[in-house]
Amino acid sequence: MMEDTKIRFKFNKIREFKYLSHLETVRLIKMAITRAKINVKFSEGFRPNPKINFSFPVPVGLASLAEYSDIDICEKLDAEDFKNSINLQLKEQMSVLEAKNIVNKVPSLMGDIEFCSYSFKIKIEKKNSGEKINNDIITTSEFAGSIYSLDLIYDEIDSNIVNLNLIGYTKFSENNKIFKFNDFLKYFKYLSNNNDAVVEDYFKKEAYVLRGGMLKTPLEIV
Amino acid sequence: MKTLNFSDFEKLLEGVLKPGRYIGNEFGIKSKSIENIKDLDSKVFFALAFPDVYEVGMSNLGIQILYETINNHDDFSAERVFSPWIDLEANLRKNSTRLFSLENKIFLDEFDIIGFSLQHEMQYTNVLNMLDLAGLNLRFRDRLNMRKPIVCAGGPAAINPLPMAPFMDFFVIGDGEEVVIKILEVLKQFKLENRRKEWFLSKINKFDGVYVPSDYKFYYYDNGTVKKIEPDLKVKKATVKDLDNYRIVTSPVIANIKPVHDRFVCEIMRGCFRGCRFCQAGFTYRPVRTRKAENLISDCMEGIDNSGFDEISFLSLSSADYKELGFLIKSFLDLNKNKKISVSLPSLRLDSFTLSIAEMIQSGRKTGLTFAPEAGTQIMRDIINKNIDENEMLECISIAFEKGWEKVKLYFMIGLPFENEKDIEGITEIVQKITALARNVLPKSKLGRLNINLSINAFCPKPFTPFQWAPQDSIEILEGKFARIRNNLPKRFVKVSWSDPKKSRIECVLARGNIKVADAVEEAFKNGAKFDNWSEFFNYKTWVDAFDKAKIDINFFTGREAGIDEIMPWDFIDIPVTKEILIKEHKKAKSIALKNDGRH
Ligand code: SF4
Repeated sequence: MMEDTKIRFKFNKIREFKYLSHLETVRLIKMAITRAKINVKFSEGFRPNPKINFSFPVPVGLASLAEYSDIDICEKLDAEDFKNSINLQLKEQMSVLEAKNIVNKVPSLMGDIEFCSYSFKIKIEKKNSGEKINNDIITTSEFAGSIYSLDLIYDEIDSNIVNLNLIGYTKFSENNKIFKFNDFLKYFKYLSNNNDAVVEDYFKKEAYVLRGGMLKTPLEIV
Repeated sequence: MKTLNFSDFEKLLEGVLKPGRYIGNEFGIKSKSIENIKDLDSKVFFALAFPDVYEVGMSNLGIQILYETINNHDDFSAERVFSPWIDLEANLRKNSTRLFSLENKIFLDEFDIIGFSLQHEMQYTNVLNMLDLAGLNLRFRDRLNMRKPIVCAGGPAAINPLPMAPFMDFFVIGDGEEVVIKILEVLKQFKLENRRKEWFLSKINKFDGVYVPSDYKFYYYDNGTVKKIEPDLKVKKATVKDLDNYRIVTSPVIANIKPVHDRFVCEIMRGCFRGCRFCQAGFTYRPVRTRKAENLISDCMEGIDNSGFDEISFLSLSSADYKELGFLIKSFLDLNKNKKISVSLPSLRLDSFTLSIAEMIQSGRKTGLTFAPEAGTQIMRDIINKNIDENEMLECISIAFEKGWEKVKLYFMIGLPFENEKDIEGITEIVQKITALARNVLPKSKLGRLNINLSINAFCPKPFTPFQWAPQDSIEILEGKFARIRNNLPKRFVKVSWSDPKKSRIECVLARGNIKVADAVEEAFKNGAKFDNWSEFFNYKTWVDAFDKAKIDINFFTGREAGIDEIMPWDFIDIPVTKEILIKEHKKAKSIALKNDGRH
C-alpha cells in the first residue's frame, strides 16, 4: 500500500506579493507544487481538485508572515524536503518558511484558527501619543470587542518609534466580534493622525489556535 | 536609468482593483537585473509593450516568444509593459508618474526601444495611450531630436501598418523572432558608437520585414485613391524559414494572476494553405511551416514540467492539416497518463477523422465541439472557398451526439460579398437541422442539455485577401440581417452572440486605412477612446466624431467597392502572395457567384 503524507506549512507574502488576492495566491502555490513534482492527492469526482487547504484569506495589500496551508500527498515525504523543493519554485517574497508532517489528525485550518496577530509601527511626535492611541482603541473604539490583546512596545533605539502588537479574533462568539483589519486600519490611521503620529508599517504576524486556554501557532500543535 | 521606487509604486496601487497586474517578479522572468549590470550602456533595453491588460497580454504567444528570444541574448534585456487598467491610469496621471515596466520598474521612456505588439486594430488607441503615459510625443516627427526610445510595432495588426505609421519609427512586418535580433545588434552599435537615428533606420530598413515610415511617400488622386507610392520598393515580409530552428517556449513566464488562457502553448504549425478568401491570416502567414512532432513531444514535456500548467493548447491556424496530429496527441497523452493534464486544440476542423482526436482529448469531460462553416449555403461557402460540406458536418455532429457530446459551437459570418437572402436563411436552416438531428439521436433525458452556441460576426474585408476590394455592409443592413436570423432561430437549445456592427465598421476602416486614417486614430485617442475591444469602453460616437474632425469619410474605406486596378495603400508590402493571385481568386469568387443564380 502506498503511504500517505500530510504536511502543514507556513508561508509569507511580503513586498509586492502582498498585492495578490487569495485566489491568485492559491493558483500560484498550486502551480509551484506541480512544478516541484509533489504528488498531491486529488479529490474524487467529476472535477478532481488537488487536496490543498488554506487558512483564512488575508486582505489584499496586507503583508503577512504567517499564511498556512495543509496538503495531502500520495507518498512518503519529509516536510523539510517538501519545503526545500517547493521553495525552488517560489520567489522569496512568497515562500515556505516552515513545514511539518502532520502525524495526528488535526482540525482544518479554517475552522481551527481563532486569532491573528498584527504588528503596527508608528512614528510619534509627542511622548504620550502611543499610550493615548492604545487607550483609545481599547476603551472607546468600536473595535474593542474584536481585540483579544494589545501591547505597546517602544523601540529600543529610536524612542519616536512605537510598535503595537494586536491580537484580533477571527471568529465570532458571544463574547467577541470578528476583527476587521481593513476597517481597523482606516480608523487607526485616522486616530494616529489626530495624535500627531504616522503609521509607517504594518503586517500580519501570526495566526493562533486555542489549546487548553493557550494560544498556539498552527504548527505548534501538529 | 530611472526607475520607480517601491514606496511610490505602493502609493500608485492605492485603490487599484487588481494590483497583482503590476507587481512583476513572476516565476520564469528572464530580463537582466539592472543592479548587476556594471555598464548599462553596453546593453540594449527593450520594452515589450502590449496594448491591453496583463491577463490578455500574458496569454499572447508572440510576447512570450520575443521575451525569450531577446533575453536569451547576453547584450539585450526585454521587460514587459501592459496597458494599465483605468484605475492605475488615473493614479499615474494624478501623480504625474510615467508608465513603467514590470520587471525593473523602469520608466518606459528610459528604454532604448519600445516595441508594441498589435494583435488587432481595436488596440490602436491603447498604443497611443501608452506612449502618452510614457510622456512621449505621439508622432515620430515630434521625437526626432530624441535618441531614445525608438518606438516600433509588429504583430498581426501591423500587416497594414499605415493607420499607425505616423507614430512609429519603424515596423516589423511578419515573423519577429529572427529579425528582432538583427535589429537589436544594429541598435547596440548605434548606442555604442553614438550614431544618429537616421543611421540606425537606414541600416535596418535593408532587413526583410522592416518598414520605416519616413522612407515612403504617398500621392493621391482627388477622389482619395492612391496615385503613387514612392519609392517603388517593396517591404518584404519577414519569414522564419524553418520553425524547427526555433524551439517552442519551454519556460514561459507564469502570470501572477490568472491569464485569459491559463495554459501551456505549443505552436505546432504556422500558416494555413486552405485559402478561405476572407481570411487575412490565411494569406499573410504563408508559407505553411510545421514543427516535427518528435521534437514537440519532448519540448512539451519539458514545458509542462517547467510551468506547472494543467492544460496544454496545440496552436496553429488549422490543426487538422498538421499531418502528425494524431501521433502527437496520442504520444503526448500516453506520456502524461498519470497527470491531470487536459489538451485543447482551438482550431480543429472537425470531420469523421478528427472527431476521433476530439474524442481522445475530451475523453473525460466533453466540453463541446466547434464548427466554422462561416456561411449558410454551399454556394456562399464556395464563394468564400470555405471547404466545408454541410452533409459531412451534420453527419459528424450526429456521430458526436451519439458519442455523448451535447454542446456545439458554430461560427458564421454575415455581410459576405455576393451574399443574398438564401445565405442568411441558410444559417437558421443549419441550426434547425442540428436541433432536428439532436431530437432524433439524443435520448430524451439528454436532450434538455443540448446547447448550440451560435456566433455571428460581421464580415470585415481585410487587406491582402481576395476580398480586399469588397465593400462592407452598412450598419443598418447588418442589423437587419442579424434580426432576421435571430427571429427565425429555434428558441430552445440555441444561444446566439454577435459582434457589434458599429465596432466592425471601425475595425474595417482601421484595417483598410491609409496613412491619413492615423489622424482619426489620434483624434479618437484624444477624445478618450481606449480599450476599444472591450464592449463597455467602445464608443462609436467618439470614433465618428474623430473621423469628422480629421475630415475623413469612413464610408470611403468601408462602404466603397475598390477598383481591381486601383493602387491599394498597402501595396508596397510584399506578403509575398502577389496581387495577381489575389485578383485571380477574386475573379474566381465572382464567377461562382455569377454562375449561381446570377448574384453580383
Ligand atoms: S479561415 Fe481557417 S482554414 Fe480558412 S484560411 Fe483562415 S486559418 Fe485557414
